[in-house]
Amino acid sequence: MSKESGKESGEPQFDSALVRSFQAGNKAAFDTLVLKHKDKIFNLCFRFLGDYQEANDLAQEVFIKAYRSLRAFRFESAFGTWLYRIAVNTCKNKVKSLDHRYAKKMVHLDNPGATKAAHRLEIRDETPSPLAELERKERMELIQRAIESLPPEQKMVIILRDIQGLPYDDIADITGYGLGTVKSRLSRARLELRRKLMKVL
Amino acid sequence: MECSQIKELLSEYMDGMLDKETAELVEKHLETCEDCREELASLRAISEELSSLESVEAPADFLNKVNERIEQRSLVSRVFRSIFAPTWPKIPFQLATAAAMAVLVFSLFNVMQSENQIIGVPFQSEKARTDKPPATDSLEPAPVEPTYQGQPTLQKAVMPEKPAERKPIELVLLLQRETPSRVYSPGEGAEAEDAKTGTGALEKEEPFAAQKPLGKRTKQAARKAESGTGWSDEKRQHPLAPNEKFAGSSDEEAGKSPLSLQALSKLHRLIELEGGGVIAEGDEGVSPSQYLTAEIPAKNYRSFLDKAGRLGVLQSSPSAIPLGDREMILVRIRLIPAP
Repeated sequence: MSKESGKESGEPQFDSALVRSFQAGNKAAFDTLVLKHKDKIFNLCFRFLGDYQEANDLAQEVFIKAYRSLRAFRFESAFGTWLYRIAVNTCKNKVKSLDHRYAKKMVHLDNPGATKAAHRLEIRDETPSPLAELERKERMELIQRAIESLPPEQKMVIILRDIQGLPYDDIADITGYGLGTVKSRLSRARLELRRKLMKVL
Repeated sequence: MECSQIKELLSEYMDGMLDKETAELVEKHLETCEDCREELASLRAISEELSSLESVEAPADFLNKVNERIEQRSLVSRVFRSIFAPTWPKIPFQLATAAAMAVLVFSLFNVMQSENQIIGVPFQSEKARTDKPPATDSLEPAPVEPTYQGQPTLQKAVMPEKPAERKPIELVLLLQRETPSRVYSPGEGAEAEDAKTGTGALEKEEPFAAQKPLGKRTKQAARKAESGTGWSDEKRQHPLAPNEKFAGSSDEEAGKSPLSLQALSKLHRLIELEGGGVIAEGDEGVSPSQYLTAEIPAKNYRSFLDKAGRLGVLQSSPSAIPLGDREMILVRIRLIPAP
């Protein structure tokens, strides 16, 4: 659960050094930061939106925003936390924007479910047993759909905690919620997911 | 603790986020409650299910795409800035709106004001020219005459305003028969005469009468005046008569209206006493009335009115109260002899 966060928290000094290097004019330092953090940001976006292509666009946007603001970075928090904050805000804005909803609806009407299924097939191409793989995919699909059905605030907290494996304090810092709010939202999200998934899992 | 309360704490208990005491309470409850144990187990299963979800990785060209978009954006913004930045200072929308409104209101106000000037001023100057004896020191705006058809030209608008300013305050002094005896009998003997004519108020005239050095002569003159003759003699002899020429001219009219002549000379003295000066005087032809134009210091204007009021019935419009900022007040007094 917390293995990812442990892996990341080991290198905040490395991140800071890269940021300083970038601020000193070394553009390549930013590339290193992107390569280091792209997957966890991409995963967050994908779990939040449930669409691979949209997640790709959104994750790129997160790094573009980071690039533009990085010169003003003051090292008040870890680069990873700061980047998560940008990602969370970008996701929230995406959900708010009407065109996102319209685009989603249009996709569903024209070609229901096709986009998602196609991407998921691509991701897990190298799995051996077709039957086991199908079962696993179905399972993943169900979990992802259950996550997507949560209210955005609960969804973000449970992704950050149970998927990204961040500690409560970091989640409060990233989302801007109080610690109590993080706890109660996480509790409600878990109960809600249990209710939705108990029958099928 | 009830199950519902415990169930709310299970999520935190699972993550080790509860304080020691609460965690012990939950543990105690879990030992006895099968239902809550199941709940906790299912929550753990969900959490583990989520954390075991495979991390969806970004495509291989992710970094390139990001850099491409950064390049594009910086190029676009550079072009955009180079085109618009110099002529596009950042003004807050509200500020810009407020400024626009201020300009609009100010310009409207200006237009309205200049209209007023064009329409308003000609009326005033026309009135000043046509009405030879203006009613009062007109402080109220000139009435808009519907017959006025003149073009509101600027030439008219900039007509000199001085005549309007120098418009005298019109006063009418209706003389009374008793007046001469009241004023011209300050001596001891006069008192008897006062008693005879039934008029008192001698004391009130003291400051005025004290200026006259020849009490006996005035007494004499008063008697003559009462009989209707000898006024001109008195007038010539009077040391304070301000204008010999006037005295001469009034000689011929002495028979016609001695009272008004007498009053005229009194007015002359009164005006001088108050620090003013007579500018013009004369009669208006057929009518027996006479007029006198004089300047009186504004500060003495009230006392002048008071004293002039003792010569007869003084009529002045209430709007004739002088403006405080003027030094000298121009008055035009019309004397109307008692019938």
